[in-house]
Amino acid sequence: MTTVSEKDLLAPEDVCGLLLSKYLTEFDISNSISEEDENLIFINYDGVEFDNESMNPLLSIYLDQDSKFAHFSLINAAPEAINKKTIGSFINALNKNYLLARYEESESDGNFYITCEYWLNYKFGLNPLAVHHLIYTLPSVFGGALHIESTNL
Amino acid sequence: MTLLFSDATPKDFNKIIQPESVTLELISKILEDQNIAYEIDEDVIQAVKGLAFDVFITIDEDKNLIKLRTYIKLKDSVTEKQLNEIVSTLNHDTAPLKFTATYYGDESPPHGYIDGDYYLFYQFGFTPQSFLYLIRFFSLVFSRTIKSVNKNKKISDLLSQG
Repeated sequence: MTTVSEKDLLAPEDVCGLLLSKYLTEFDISNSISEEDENLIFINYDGVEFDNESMNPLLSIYLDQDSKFAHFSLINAAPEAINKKTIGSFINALNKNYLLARYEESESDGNFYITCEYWLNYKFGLNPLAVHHLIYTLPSVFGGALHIESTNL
Repeated sequence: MTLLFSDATPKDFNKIIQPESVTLELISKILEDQNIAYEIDEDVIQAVKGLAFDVFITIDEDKNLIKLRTYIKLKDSVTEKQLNEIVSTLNHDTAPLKFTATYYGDESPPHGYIDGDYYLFYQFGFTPQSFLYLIRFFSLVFSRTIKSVNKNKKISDLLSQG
């Protein structure tokens, strides 16, 4: 297990999109900074294979400089069997039965999407290793939760 | 949002606690140092005084997660549909908590709870300072959220306590 020391943490006042993007690039994680907001980073999962074939997630990380939370937001299409009647209880089941992340629903052009979110606080420092770990953990948690919960539909 | 720490800050307040050292005893010690009263019931710590809302703390050592949880009971007249709608509204409007609905429809009378959760991920350690900040932040956000939904007559009529 990696032993982390205080010197591994990025100082909160230094945390910004550019610095985090630099670390992610060093970790070989393909990423880009939003043209509209320098605190918003998009992660490109091209080339990453997920256990769940229906996973095709888009991940963004927003560095909220006021609250000092890094907001991880991952969106994926809802299972095909989901409809207006079942989406509410499906989301509550995801939130209730699976650890770590929070789930929310959205609808666009009659299609349902599910967002998986996590907030990592960096008020007292940000560990790039934790960010790296979450980038790969969240899709796995999300995919597993969607797969298992879909079988209950 | 100002979250003050007690003056009695130990020397290692800013020192990273390694994942393998995380235990209920260690969490209890951090709370004690900050004058946050607590009770331990088997594998759950209930922080009961010194916070805006009681917080239940559990540790999942396998997944390196500390779960913070609190809840509020709703009036017995609440329906499962109403409860799910309230929770959905809260999840849309509030970060970083996760709100869930617990409904006991088979009991007499049927009743429900709004639960608030946050998971502190500690695979790479955490400092006592960051833990205390998060527990206070969590408790405050839950408390403020409940106060704010209380302004919504449709929801406040369903809350057991204000």
